[in-house]
Amino acid sequence: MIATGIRLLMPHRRRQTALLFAALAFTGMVVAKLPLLVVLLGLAPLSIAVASITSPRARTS
Amino acid sequence: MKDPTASLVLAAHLALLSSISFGGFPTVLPDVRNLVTANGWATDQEFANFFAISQVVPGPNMILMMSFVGLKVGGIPGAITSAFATFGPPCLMYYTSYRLWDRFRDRPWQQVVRRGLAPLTIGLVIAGGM
Repeated sequence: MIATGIRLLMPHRRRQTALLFAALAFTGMVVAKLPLLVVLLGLAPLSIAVASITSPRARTS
Repeated sequence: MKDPTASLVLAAHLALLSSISFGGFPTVLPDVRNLVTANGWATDQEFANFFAISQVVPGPNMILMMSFVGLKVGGIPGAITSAFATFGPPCLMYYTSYRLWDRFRDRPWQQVVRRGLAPLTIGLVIAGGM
């Protein structure tokens, strides 16, 4: 499962914000042991907001 | 243990978890384990055994694993209820969301949402392996 996750991460490895949010989700679940809902509801809006700022397509439209 | 109430509690929990299991059901396995062991429905060892058995057979492993958990909690009815609770809600959600997603397929916000959710999913998948 870890290998699958790393393989999924490969296409996003140049995006620092993607790495950051993947690390935050991992940390929230494994290190902080937060409930899944808290991690999802806390990080998903932030991650989408950051993606909307950093997305080239969003910037040009 | 063949407690119908326990089966219903388990099914409700599985239905909720399956609805938020982005990246696949393994991302919510720790939550299922916590529920099952905290209520004394199965031990850690039994839960690990369910996982191991479900991994060595072909097919939809997590549905099978939740059937094992349901079987332990509520017998055959518990197994059937747990299986439906595991795949029913996401199927319904996927069907509904696909129709909506497809309707707005050319909108720029779709790409943004995908780019935003992908890293979270990846982080949860890796966390599920720990």
